[in-house]
Amino acid sequence: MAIGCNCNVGLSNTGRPNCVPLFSVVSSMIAAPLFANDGTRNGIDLNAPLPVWADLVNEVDASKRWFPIPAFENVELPKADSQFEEANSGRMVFLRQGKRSFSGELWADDSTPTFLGKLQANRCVDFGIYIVDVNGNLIGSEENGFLYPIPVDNPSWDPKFAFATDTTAQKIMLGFDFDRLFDESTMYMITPDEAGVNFTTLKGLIDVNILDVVEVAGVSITFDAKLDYGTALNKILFKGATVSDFELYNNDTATVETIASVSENLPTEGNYTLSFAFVSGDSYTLSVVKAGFTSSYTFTAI
Amino acid sequence: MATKTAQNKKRLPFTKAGMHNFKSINEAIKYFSLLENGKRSRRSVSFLFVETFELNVGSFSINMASYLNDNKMFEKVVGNYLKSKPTLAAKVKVSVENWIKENDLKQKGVKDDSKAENLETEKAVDIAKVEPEDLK
Repeated sequence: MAIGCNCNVGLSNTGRPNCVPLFSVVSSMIAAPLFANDGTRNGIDLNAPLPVWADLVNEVDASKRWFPIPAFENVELPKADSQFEEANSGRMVFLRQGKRSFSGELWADDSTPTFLGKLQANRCVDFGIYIVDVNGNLIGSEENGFLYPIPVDNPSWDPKFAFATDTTAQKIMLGFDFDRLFDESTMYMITPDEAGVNFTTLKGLIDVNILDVVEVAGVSITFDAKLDYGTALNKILFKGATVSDFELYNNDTATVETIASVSENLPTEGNYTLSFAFVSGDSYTLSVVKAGFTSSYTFTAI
Repeated sequence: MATKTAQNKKRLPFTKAGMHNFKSINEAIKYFSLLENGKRSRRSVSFLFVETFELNVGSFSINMASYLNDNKMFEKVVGNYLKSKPTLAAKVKVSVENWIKENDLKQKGVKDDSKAENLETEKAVDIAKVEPEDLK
């Protein structure tokens, strides 16, 4: 959005109500793709019933999903100086506003190299962020009845890992610039009272990897389910799941199949057998739909 | 009629009780994905629908909607898994029978309307035929 003069009006009126909502200190953020794969722009329709926030985080379609990022420490949002051209006379003419940058640190359990890898992947996607302040307000860009994520200049997205030292903890330092054309006067917030949720409580999904899949033709598949996190030798297991925690989607018929049963093959934790009458040659996608987790494993039934 | 079509349902709650009104998971997804019905995500509907019909026997987790929709297929695929686990198979048999007794299928059937009246008796007989020895 261009930021300049509006020649159709004079000076803007400067009165204000006695009580206006103000943003507080930035705590965390929620990343979201600017556009979904179907071409629609991702935003909150302010003229419709508010969405189920947990559903946005748990959305199957990653191009529509919200990706909450944990709380930051030492957040700074400096604004570079505006650019002017100065004549020999000393007269200055406004050229453009300076860019807004973000820097913050993720500490403790949020500072793993595994999480670093997930943040680094964001650079390849055109995305924006909703800012979440310490009071749980959600801050975005209000435009034509929608609250959109604030666009990020994604090539500037730069998460960096920092090793612990004698005096400092391990951390991830994240820096990026907002889109240089973003008009900060469009920022509005939704409060926790309005939303029915404190936005600092939203958590991102945890990836589950479906591994070592063995299929018994027409009746079952057996697989391991592990997280990305853990040690090199022992990844954290996805344990204790039941049949409702899995979804089997038939890509050929575009329908969700009704799984017959799922059994965790104890004492081998994280190893499951899923029973279903697989149709030979059909393509299926097995997903974890347990709240807080996600996975996607596509295979063709033998 | 024991069940209604999705078009006739008015503001069904997004709860386990609401899920009992659907014949299939896809019908529930179609209904709850509409804006006027809450615009719920597919994964949240999938989870709640199956959770509604979930029966857990230790670490063995059964989707009773699968059993109610096609008990022959259910017995084939589940029986294949249980054939080497006779003790678990016996527990599953008892648990399935109890689940059918505890759930008023005439009220909450997920089967075709025409078959709903006989559902409880029919299913109880079907599962009774599956002895643990048969599953070996």
